[in-house]
Amino acid sequence: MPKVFWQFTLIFSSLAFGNAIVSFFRLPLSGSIVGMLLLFLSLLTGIIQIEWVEKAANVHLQHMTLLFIPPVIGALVYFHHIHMKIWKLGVVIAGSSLCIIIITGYSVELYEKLKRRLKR
Amino acid sequence: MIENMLISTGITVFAYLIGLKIFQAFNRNVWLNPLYTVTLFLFIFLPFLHLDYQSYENGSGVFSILMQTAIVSLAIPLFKQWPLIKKNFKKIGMGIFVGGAAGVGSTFSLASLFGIKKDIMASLLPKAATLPVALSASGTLGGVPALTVLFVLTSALFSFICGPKVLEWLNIKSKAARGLAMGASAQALGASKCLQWGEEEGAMSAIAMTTTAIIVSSFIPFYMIFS
Repeated sequence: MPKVFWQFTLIFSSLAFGNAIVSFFRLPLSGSIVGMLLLFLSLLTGIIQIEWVEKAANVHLQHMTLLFIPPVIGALVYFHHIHMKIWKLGVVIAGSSLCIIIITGYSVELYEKLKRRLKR
Repeated sequence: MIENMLISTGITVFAYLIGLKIFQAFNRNVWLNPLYTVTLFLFIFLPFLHLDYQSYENGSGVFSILMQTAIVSLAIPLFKQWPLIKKNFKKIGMGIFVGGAAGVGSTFSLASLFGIKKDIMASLLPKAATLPVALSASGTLGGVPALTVLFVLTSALFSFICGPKVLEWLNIKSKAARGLAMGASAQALGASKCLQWGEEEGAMSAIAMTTTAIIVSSFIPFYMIFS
């Protein structure tokens, strides 16, 4: 248990560093993304060994669903306050989500097929 | 205040653990995912526990910090799959760029078609990015944060439910294509789904989620110039 705690502290420090960098340079990115990139670079360069953070990270990733519960409840409550045609928003959300899935999926598969054909 | 925090956090974790047990007992049936069962349970029963939604929201702040450390934790699968990324760098970069552009572009054109107002448009545009990233982008654009939360989560939930079926209908079999599509559209939810499919799909979706966030937030300044 204490080991996981120290691992968590290390992950949290990456987040704090990321937040500091974002506010210092006024980047249009979020601190967590910069923190992730920092941790990633530290792992690549070997400053941080993967064993030092792996356990705590896996606990996070396995139980990510838990973290979504409070914001979803908050969003459900907020739903009553939108004064506009909700179906329009629904169409925009569904349409663009489908666009992302279909276009990403197709373009990657097409790329792989073309590459295979070129190899032959 | 501290009491409120303990109750909100405790009840959420407790309900989640029970929800997870039920989910596992029923062979991981998609509709029994703790995200649906536990959210619905809490949404209905919070008032009976003399806990109104506002104080629940204030009391569950721990989870928003954990959400951020969870995003930092994505560095671990990213690092483990680095050889795979390096090998497929062009494919991943192309897929995510095209997909991200399609996401922002389709949102913009559909919203303009429906004549959606500027502040709601600003809350809609960054919805393809992960929650914390979308929130900061929405703030820069002059959007409404609570709306952005709603849009990000509903589009992630929609993609999480429909994505696997759409991919099946379109007969998309490649592991990379499935992982990238799910990660780009459903973010962390998609990544959790893909981790169940397999290691490569999981890694690809984690990569897609982080790179989509970076690409979407780099599209935002262009919108600000044109509008």
